Amino acid sequence: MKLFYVLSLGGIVGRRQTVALVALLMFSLSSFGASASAADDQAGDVVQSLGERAISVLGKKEGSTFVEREAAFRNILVEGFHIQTISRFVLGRHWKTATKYQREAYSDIFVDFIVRVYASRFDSYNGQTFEILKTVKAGTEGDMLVRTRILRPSGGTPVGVDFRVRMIRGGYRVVDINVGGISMLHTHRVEFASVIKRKGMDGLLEELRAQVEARGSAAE
Amino acid sequence: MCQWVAWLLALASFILARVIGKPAFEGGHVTFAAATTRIMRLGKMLAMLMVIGIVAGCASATAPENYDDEEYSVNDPFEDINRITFAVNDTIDAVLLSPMANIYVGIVPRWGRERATNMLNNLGEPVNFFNGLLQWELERAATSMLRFTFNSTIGLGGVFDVAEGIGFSRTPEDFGQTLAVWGVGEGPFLMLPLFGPSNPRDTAGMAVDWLMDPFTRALREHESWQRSIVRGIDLRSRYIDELAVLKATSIDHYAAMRELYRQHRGNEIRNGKLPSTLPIPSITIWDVMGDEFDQAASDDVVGVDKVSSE
Repeated sequence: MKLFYVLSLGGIVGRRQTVALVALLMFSLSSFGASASAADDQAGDVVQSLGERAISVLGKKEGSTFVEREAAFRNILVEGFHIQTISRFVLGRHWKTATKYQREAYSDIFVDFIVRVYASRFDSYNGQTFEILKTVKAGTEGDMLVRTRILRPSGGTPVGVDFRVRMIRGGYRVVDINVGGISMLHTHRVEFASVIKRKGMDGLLEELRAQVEARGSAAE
Repeated sequence: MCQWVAWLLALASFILARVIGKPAFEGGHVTFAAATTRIMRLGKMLAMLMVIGIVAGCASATAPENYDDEEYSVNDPFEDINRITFAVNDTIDAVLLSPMANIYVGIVPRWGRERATNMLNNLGEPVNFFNGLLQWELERAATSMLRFTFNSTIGLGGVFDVAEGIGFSRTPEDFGQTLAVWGVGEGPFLMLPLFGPSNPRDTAGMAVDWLMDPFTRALREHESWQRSIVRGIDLRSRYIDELAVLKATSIDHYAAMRELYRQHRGNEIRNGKLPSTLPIPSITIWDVMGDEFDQAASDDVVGVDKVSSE
């Protein structure tokens, strides 16, 4: 799979020029690649390798069970994502009011939860390919946003997926995924806050546990 | 702001009532007209109730104090009613819409369904065009016009999306987005019966779109309704897996849907562009944990990180 780096080009390019742009891209791919900064390269490479691993897991769908694929997803997520950052952000201010026991329980269950959720959501993918469009700065924290799009085998409108990556302890880790402009991190945060509001922190832990168990038995 | 939307909505439903109130085609459709009149009357009543509800709601609905706190940035004063409506919608979906979508997918092959989607999309191009103009997004408006021209002719009445093939992708716009571009805020979240997640702005937008759509008039009344029903099935059939997975993997289905809708609309309003400052606040561990960062948590961080780096 080729790595496309489209650098700024004065921001977002209009739809009208799409055809011309693609031609231009093919023509001057090498020069664009050369002008990409080292940080962009690194951020893009991380996402590229994650994407390829995910696709290779889904590619073996016929000869594997959901449980096997989920185990593979777990490795990909735990290595490529900074789950610690994600889990703290998702809980937000409720982290402060949680007891030590609740924090530990939450940290434990969150990994299982996020693996279940994403393994289930991505498991419906079949034959999709993806390409990296460009890497842009994401404002705060020196984050980079790696913009990609997922192409369906049937054609159809491609889905834009942005990976927000952050330099953590010497390596880029994914801290958020935006699918079609929807931040997964934000959605979970609001969802969790809603559960806590209605059922309290213990209620949230219970819901998370129930979700992990339900998916576990459904996968058998 | 809120009163603005209420007025717009009142105006829209008034005009809608006038348009609908007229007997569409005098000759030949007496029996059908008789049947639809009842539905129309019901629709008008619902529209009125909605306006009253929204006006009343606007008056009492003030954004929560901690609205700026990203974590709670949910303006949902009608949550209790919304959740009930959501449950009703969910039931209707489970017994009616979802089975219909599944049957549709079961009997019509993908090729056929894509033709239907294209045709429905093509009928929506005039609305995209008008709203593109109203937002002064001339490039997008021109794209809609070109797409409509190409697809209606070479594309055999919209059955084939030839415009897409030559680089003119769809540029969906609606009046809710137009209002947003004009500076109207979204207002409180609303869960509409049948229509699903919305807000006063997008509800008003929906009514105005119905009015500005030339096909609303060009088609006979019952054809318009049929189009809406087919549209609903088409839309539902394209998200069978996604919606099922979302429902299965969310711990608060309603809250997840609400947030997805809000972000999705935000993305549509920005036409898929990145926001100038990303609405993802700082997520440094220190920030999140604040002053109460303790040693136990710190050990925890290191511990988990060790596991994750293996």
